[in-house]
Amino acid sequence: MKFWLNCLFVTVFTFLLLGLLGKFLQMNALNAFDPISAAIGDIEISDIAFSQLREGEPEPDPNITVVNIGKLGRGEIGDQIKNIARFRPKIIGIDAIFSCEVRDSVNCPAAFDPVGNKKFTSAIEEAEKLGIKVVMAEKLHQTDQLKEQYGDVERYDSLEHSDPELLRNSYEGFVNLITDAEHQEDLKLCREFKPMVMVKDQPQYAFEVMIAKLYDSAKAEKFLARGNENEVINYRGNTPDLWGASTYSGRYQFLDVHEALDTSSFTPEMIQDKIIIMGYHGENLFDKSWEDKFFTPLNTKYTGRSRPDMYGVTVHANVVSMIIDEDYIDTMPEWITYLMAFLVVFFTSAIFFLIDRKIPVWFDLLSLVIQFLLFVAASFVMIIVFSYYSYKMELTVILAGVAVIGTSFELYKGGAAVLAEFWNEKMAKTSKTEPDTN
Amino acid sequence: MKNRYLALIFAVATLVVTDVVAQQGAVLRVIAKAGQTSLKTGSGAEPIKSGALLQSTDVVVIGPNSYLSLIPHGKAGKGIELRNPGSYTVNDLAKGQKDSPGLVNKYTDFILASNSPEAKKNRMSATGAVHRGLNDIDVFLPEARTKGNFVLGNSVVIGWEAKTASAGPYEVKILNLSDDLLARHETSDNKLRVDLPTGESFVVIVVTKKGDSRSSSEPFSIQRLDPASPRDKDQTAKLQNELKELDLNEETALNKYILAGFFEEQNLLIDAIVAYEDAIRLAPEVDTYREAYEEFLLRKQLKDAKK
Repeated sequence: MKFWLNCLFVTVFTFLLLGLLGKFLQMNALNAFDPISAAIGDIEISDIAFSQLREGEPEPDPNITVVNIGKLGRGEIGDQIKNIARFRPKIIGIDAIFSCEVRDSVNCPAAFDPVGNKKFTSAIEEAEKLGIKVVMAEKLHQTDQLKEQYGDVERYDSLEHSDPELLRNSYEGFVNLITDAEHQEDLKLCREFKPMVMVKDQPQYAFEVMIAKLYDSAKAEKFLARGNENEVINYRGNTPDLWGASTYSGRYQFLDVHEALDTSSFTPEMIQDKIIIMGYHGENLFDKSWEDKFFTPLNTKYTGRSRPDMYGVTVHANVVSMIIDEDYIDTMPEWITYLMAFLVVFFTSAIFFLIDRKIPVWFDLLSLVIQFLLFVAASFVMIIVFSYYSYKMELTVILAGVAVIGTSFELYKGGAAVLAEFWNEKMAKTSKTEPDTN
Repeated sequence: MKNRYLALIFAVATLVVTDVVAQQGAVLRVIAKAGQTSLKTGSGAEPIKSGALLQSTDVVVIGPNSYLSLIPHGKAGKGIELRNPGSYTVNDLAKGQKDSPGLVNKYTDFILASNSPEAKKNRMSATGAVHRGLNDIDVFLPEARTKGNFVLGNSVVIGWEAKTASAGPYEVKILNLSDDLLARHETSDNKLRVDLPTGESFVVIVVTKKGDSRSSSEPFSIQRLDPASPRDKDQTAKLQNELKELDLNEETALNKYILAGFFEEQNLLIDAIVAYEDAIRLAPEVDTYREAYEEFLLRKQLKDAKK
């Protein structure tokens, strides 16, 4: 009993130590000397699984074609839509918002270009007449009033739409993605997205969810029925990545700007019955700029400074693939994470006590070996479970406990020995001063 | 009448069967491409279309700074990406697909690779400078991505400007897509008129300074419009009709000037260049044609404006 009680005390002590360390680091006391935390602060173990350690290789998605709109104006995008619609895709999703903050002919000439606007709207109308469903992008916003009332929260009370004359009978979906970016120009890391958000008591669906609803409503409903506020994106791969920033590139059919303007440069099979997602993918495939590019778990460099690897339009394509293929990622609840961490540290401390009792001379070496093996085993289990079952285990707490258990065990032992000696001395003094009543 | 009907049915049936057989024989499919990518045919090469099906006997040619992405046709499998210039047989590409190692092997390799020493890695791949030594010869020809590099006529006038101060002589090479040299010309001038080689629908032009291979232009591709091919038949017929209506056969500078405008409208920029050059040649004393030509080169961004 005493043995298990000691194990319990060591376990509690380990988590207290972790908590103290966490608080100390949160005070930013060591930030100047802690480039490691800064570098790895953004990574998760699952990023390594995504980019380096998958069973097999993800196959290209035959249902989706990504089309680059580059820096084309409304009229030319209309030409692209017209060319694409000829070959009867099922859905056309346009990852672009055609609106301006300042609406005048100097700051927003596109809005005052009747020819360009007419070409665009005609193309949309023709597509809709052919039975093709068109999904346009919208953006969630917070008004100043809401920010004042609720502070920095994930609530939205307004939507930015494209100019009304361009919308026609199109559907809409919000294109906001979950990143830590304050502004569009910040570097953006995207692992998750929100399927649905309430805006003024009305459900607004993500761009990808709206596309999926129109393509296969049953699958979309099944996805929404999961009821998760946030969903982890199960990345399948990238569009052609000529610069090697991403693993699994070439997983989506792709038409560059000039190809979509020339029907002789592609076969109908690229478009027929497909989901077409149109968006910015650089000025062309050779473009090296980072505009509208995200960091994803598929980045070849999963830690430290790197370059973004995936355009926003391809992130949307990955989400659509995930919903259509019903290939979601489930996440371990937090309480299970803590329970597992507790059990791992508890039984590790039991092993440590046994070693310390039976073969104390080997304790230092064996404790390090055990910690290392536990670390490798935990990360391997996480990767296996992630790869085979699409289940994301959050093992940070477990790994932190394993990393600290050795030190906390030694500290506990030393502290317990000091306390035991103090107690024995006190008991001895007390028995000397008490008179003999017999 | 009956025979004609039967012949029509036979022709349609043949087309359908051929298509089915071609699809069944197809091994890979193109899902994305960039730059110069082509398919070798018996007589030469033709550009590859996105979505095209490739047979096992096909040979694809990738030019410099180009890319081709392929997936297996009709069965599951990972994609193939080609980035290095060269010729590739589709059969070899399809056979070369190895099974991905299992997860345990991947994990083991990952752990071991993470621990391997970095000291021998080449860390000097990047510089702090931009390249100015290469591609320092600007050629006044349209890039392939603008689709202005189609040509109706039989000759092309290649003009260029060296960014560095040194003068010629220059060497103009005409290559096919397999990088085979079709013709080589030498000149001290900054301009050369060449006849396009017969039998080649797709050629590449490179201008270098003679004796200094570092000083060269980017490669420019030129595609000939072929009245016999299904792709170009209608367009070529329409152009020939319109040229007939214009009736500009008489060899005058004004006719050539008008012809240049016509070709520019049709986005046949190389033919337009030839027409402008002819107009200047026929009336060298008239500045209007020279000025119009300069404006054309600037307007079509074939030449940078001098700051």
